[in-house]
Amino acid sequence: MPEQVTIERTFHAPLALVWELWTSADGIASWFGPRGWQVTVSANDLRVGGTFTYTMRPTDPATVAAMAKKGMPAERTVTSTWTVLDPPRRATYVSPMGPPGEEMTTAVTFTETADGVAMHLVVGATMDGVVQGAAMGWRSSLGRLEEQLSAHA
Amino acid sequence: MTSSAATLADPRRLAIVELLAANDCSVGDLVEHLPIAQSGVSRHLRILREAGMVTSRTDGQRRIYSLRPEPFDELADWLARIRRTWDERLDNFEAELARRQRDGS
Repeated sequence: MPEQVTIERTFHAPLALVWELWTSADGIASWFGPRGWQVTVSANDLRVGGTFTYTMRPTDPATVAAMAKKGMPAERTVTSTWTVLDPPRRATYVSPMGPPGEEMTTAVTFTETADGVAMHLVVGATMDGVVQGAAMGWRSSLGRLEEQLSAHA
Repeated sequence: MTSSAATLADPRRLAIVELLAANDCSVGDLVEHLPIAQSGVSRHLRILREAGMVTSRTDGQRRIYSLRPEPFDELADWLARIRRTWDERLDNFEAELARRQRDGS
């Protein structure tokens, strides 16, 4: 059980267009909202250490009403920081997640193949400095735990 | 999942969790396998229990400690949510790529 998610896809499009769509404000806005969510990008400073800010809103009025009922804000604004930019092949950004100080890293690599552009995406929780030392052991212990649990199941 | 990670940041607690992942243990069993005094083991078990990662039952005179699977299920749920969100985003990404190629924009 890893604490990160790895996703691979191949896009049948030129690398320059893939890069543009992944890193530009209007590009991000066009695809970043998961189903039922609309995204607007209010700022994008595309350089290492620069940030981009986006706001997600539910498109379905029923969802908006349900969230208001639960006292949850319907909109969520997130500011992420570009930490790796190696155009047009590598881009990483770090986003705040949950409690203060916790972060999520989203790292993409694009490789041109005979078939198109191969995307390798890794999304994971970053461990802060204190946790870093234990992270390897944590991973292995989770792996072992999973074996244990499946053995009992 | 965050609190689990913070709780396991201490290598002694991580070691206790690793032993409990292999076998349910009493404090005595843990002390035998770890370079930690009994008072330390008890203290770390209390912290793990407060974090919801460990539970205990009595077996005659002994108290037996075991892992609770729930915090690890939370981690699995979180990972599944991330994957679902990104699968949807990447479907959008492909559709937008196709649209831009078609429109030449």
